[in-house]
Amino acid sequence: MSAITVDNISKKFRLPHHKKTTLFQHALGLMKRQMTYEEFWALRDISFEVEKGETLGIIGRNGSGKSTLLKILAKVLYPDSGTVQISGKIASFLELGVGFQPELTAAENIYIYASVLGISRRETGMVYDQILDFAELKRFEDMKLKNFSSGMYTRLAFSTAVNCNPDIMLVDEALAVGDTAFQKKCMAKIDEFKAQGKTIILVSHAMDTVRKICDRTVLLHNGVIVSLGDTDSVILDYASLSGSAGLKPEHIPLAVDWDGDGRQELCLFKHGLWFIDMDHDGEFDPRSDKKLGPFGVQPGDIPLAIDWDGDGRQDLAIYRQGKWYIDINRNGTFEPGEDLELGPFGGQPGDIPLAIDWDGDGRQEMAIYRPGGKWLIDLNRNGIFDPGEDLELGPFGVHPGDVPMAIGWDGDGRQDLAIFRKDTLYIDTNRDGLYREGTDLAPLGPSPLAEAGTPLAIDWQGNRRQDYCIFLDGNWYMDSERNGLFLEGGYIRFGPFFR
Amino acid sequence: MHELWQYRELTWNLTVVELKNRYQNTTLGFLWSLLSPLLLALVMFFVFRYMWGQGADFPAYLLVGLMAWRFFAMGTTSSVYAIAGKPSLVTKIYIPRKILVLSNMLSNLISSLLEFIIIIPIVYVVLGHLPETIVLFPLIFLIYFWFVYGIALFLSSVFVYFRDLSQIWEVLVNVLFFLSPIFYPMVQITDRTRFFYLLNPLTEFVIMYRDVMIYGTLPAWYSLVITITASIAAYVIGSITFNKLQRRFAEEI
Repeated sequence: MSAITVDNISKKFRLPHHKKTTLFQHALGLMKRQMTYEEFWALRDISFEVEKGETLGIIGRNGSGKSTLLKILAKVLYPDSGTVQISGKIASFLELGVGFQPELTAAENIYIYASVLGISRRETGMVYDQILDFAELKRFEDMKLKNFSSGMYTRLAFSTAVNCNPDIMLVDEALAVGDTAFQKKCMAKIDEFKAQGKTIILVSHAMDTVRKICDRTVLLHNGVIVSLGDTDSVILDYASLSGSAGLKPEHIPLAVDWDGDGRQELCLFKHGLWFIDMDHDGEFDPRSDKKLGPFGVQPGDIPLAIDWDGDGRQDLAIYRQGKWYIDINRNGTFEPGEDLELGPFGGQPGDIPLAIDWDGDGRQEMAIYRPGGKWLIDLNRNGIFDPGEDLELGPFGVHPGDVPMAIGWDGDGRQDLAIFRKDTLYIDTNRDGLYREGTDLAPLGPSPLAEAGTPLAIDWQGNRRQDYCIFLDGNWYMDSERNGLFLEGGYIRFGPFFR
Repeated sequence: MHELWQYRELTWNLTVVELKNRYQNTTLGFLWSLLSPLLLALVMFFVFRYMWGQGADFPAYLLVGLMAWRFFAMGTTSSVYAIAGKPSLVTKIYIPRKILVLSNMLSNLISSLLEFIIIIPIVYVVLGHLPETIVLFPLIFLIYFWFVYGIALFLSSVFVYFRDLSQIWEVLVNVLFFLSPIFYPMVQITDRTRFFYLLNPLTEFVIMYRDVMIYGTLPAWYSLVITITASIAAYVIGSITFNKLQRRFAEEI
């Protein structure tokens, strides 16, 4: 049996050109015969059902219509067309503490707020002590509300609201109230509600909360439902939706040979999602290209592509606080048990991870470039650096802002170490962990384009040699001249990656 | 109607909150609020006492008229803000919006009742007795209440869209004060204008109040007809306007 049936509702807002709020202005407007407002569809043809006992999430960007939808469900706004049917006692928490009176005491306010929520005095009396206990405000029962701190205020409001036993709850991000301990109690209360078979509708930007509580989720975009269903997949859709909103610095470019055809594909890692340009046209197209993840993002995560098992295909991996998480089962997410967790490598702040096939056996090893210029390569492949068994090279020469790289420049099947410094790439072709002009390959660059962008090594052509590539403003520049100068005509440009 | 009954506790709570806020939670607060009409009555008494050769009951005449007038003036001017002044109760939660107007009216009703309770002893002292017809007071008050409630519904909903209504209404209220027989006797009205003058429902209400509270006569039948018709008309027009406009309240506030 459904608790809420939303049938084909649409909502139109009027956006006045100049807001007229007086009779005088309206009279003027009539005389000048101006169009007084524009129409704007906040919601269009929205239909869905919520089963009794179900928790439904509503997500979407700012201005996508989430709050409008919630307000229509709460009967605060009227839809211009369509109907909403609700069975059961509904409590809406678009804002906590509606109707609170600062001049009255906490006790009086509990009864007032409860009556605003449609709860009778008798019913409130029965849970009165429970409310004060839950809010931890028993001592302040007779204090005037104006003397409450904002935390106490919200606690009192939340406690009154949740103890009033509604069948259906509409919640607009009001969950994050109070300190950590109180938040835990709130989450426990929500779980309790779920266990009691109450229906909850939650509008939120906090994807973790949505993932944790919601059985199903609706994704709104520009007033229409673009996705509805299983929470995880809808959150993925949301992530890709935000993905097309333009590039931001946190987007990390990668080269990954995902399909194992010997050519590396362009890949962008952002918000925990991997976007792989499978058809090699330099642009991401959701139909022909691949989107994987989310891997679960934490600040400081560094994405890698690594052919750990030597099957010729590179897998996706994340380096997180000294540990390596390799997505062996190739679904873009990390599942403990199925996927590989290695390390810790002895994570020091500033460590930069690399995947490198140092020995040329077709499998890539894990390596760390440590500030100060040392290379630590995990030759025995256990994810931990063991002095003696593993390789320590360098120092390469310290310079702040150096970017380490593994690059198979010469096509001998082994990857070499390289450092990108400011605008130039230095490759250690004689493999001693040091760069010396004369014995190593001449510096590639300098190039103003490289200085502005992010470098990567990519075997774009599939000829077993990796080329030098710069990612800048969503475009990929391949150094076709192989001199690092990126002069006009000396590179091939692809992109922009996202349209 | 059914819904209003469901929310009767909220209506009552909001009425009490309104009263508590108005009188700062004290009994003295109410007495202070009486000070200004009583002072006004006193001033008028001294100013107009000899002007029209008043009888001994002029103080009672003035007080009853002023208090009856106050219910209209206070009820309508405060109702202008009944919706727009409580944005969170309109935009953040669903309650029948009429409750906001109704509770405002109820608090005015209670204030007005208290005021009458205070002036009845004064009337008794002035007249030396109280007419038995005073038992009809609640009936007249009820008709009056619906009249003012209808106007309140209209004002509160229109104000959401047109914010200069408060000033316009203030002017109108002042004009109506002089168009109603509050501080001057009806005999001043010439026969030519008398008919139109009596069409003003406020005049009729004031006359009826005085009839039952001072003169001990039953209200005239045409007074009853005019006031009941006016109350029904005000309520119907107010309700229709309110119901139509309330759909976009949450957007306009």
